[in-house]
Amino acid sequence: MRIDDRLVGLFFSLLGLATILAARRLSSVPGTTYGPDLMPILIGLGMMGFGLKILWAGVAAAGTAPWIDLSAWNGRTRGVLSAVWTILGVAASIPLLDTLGLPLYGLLFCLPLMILARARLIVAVPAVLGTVLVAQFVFGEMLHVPLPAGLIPLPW
Amino acid sequence: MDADTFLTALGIVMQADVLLAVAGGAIYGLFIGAVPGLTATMATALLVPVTFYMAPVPAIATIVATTAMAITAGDIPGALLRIPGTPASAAYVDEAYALTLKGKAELAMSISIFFSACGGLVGALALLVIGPALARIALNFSSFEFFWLAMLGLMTSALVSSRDPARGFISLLIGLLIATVGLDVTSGQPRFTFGSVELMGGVSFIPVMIGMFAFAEILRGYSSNATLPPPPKLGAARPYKGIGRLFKRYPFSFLRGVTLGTSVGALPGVGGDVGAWIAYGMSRRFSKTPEKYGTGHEEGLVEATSCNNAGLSSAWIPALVFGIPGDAVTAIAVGVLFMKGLNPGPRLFAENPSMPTAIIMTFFLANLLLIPLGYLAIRSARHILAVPRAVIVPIILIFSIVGSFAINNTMFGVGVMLAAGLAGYLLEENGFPIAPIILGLVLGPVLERNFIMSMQIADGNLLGFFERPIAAVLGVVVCLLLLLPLLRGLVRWRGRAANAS
Repeated sequence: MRIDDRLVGLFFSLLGLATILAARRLSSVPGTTYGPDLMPILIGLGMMGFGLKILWAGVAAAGTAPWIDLSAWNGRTRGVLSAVWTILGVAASIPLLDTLGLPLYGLLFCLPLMILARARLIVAVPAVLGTVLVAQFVFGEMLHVPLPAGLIPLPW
Repeated sequence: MDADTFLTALGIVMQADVLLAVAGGAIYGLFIGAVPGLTATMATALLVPVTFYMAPVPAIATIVATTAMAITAGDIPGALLRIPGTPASAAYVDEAYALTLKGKAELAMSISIFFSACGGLVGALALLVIGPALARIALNFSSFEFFWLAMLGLMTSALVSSRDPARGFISLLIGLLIATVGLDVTSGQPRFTFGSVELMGGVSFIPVMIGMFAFAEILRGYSSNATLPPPPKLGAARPYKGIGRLFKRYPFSFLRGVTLGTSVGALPGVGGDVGAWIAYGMSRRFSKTPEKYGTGHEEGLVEATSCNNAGLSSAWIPALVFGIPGDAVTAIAVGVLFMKGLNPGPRLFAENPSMPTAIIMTFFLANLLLIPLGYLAIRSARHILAVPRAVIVPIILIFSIVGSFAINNTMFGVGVMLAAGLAGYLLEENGFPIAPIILGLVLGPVLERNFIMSMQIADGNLLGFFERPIAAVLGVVVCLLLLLPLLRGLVRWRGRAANAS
């Protein structure tokens, strides 16, 4: 997904400006000359400068190319669906993982993804089950990470 | 280094947990590195949550073994499918593939693995000899020298990682900006936390790294042509057959490769990738038969692969001695060392010399292990390449989620990973390199602490940054690096103006 340099440059120039404005609101410690605002202000200045350079280069090279070029995804329906499912699936893990638990969440998230990628069910199901159980055992049991077990009872 | 330090370090390395960590890391690295589309940095990023729960030496040993093996194994899809596993192996992928087309796939892979291991051993030797010596010099460094060293590492990384310096610098500034989130290093007051308790401790580099290297890579994979060409059938030749003959025929290529790799890798911010490109070009230039290059000639492969792993080992010199990482992998390792309370730098060599020596010794183990594991990799290359991507991607996603969760045992890490992954995908698609972001994130607090301290000592006088001799040399180099793109732009502009008139 290519974004035109004019938009990219503008974005970073504005981000730099926003950083400077936000940093100026940080209060300095009494008695010190250089406070928590110094580094962010320098970063903001640099970002504004390089953002403007990219913006300038974008303006100079402006042609007929679209502002946002999605041609890399053209004709890749499965790829688009997989990407959308991946993003939504990971985002959904934030509210759902605690309730569903890793084994069930993993199954619901990964199986459709594998099927979208044309994996055979006979390969996909054991692969997903094996992965979530290994992850649950290694992190949950061996490394004592409190991974939620959720709705499915675990074999250990 | 005295005998006591050496023996204590040897005792640490010969513990079962370290040996297991090296073996496990190497096998894991072999698999990830050999699968097209999965990178050594991704392998390291996914590994960090596990190292979080390990003792310092096994943790670093795992990273060292994984990286060495994954980068070397990245030459396998390069040789068989013409898909380089790492930016470094892209330098000689055509040469290796040309050998495969001649029916010498085993030889191409054998050269890569054997000479990589030898190069890695020489780089580790350099690390063992130069590291403590440099650390003794660096003990006299003040905040000025450390500030300039951090600047040198960051600047170089921004300059070499992208064709457009502006994009490299923007990436670096993004990393530095993320590093400012949390409690301020000097005053301890919250900065850019937006009232979030999770952000008070700063943004952990682990979910950012998993997102930018693993999640973003998966998204990129969906938009590219996932169907790979079938790997060629391998012949009956034994791995490593004829390697001794190549050693005798091209000793200078090997020596040049390891010398170049060690020198380039040791520069702060450069890392090992650049070396392989220079080594391949240099090999062709000095060769008696330059016309054979590109047709499956072993000479260039010997030099470039030797250089590759020598640089990989020596990139740890600035990371361990100064705490200034050379590339994304050493940035990850430096982050892990900080997490373990082992602050890399000259003090580590002075106060606890057996610890860095033990870490360096794991390089020897990892590189020696490359040879037997490489043998197995060559024999099973076709099977590794046959593992479908459709199966691997969801497995990586599950481990990315679990790994990001494991850092603070909250879903906040998963959110950070998702945001970093999306940002990483968009940035890389638009020509912004990822490595400077990670370097900026890891080095940001070091840079800021030394900068503020130096400003206070010099009372705001910037000339004070150039008063000490080593600081002055480093400062001048940094200023020249900063001016280089400006001068280049000026020359180009004058050239265009002259042409127009």
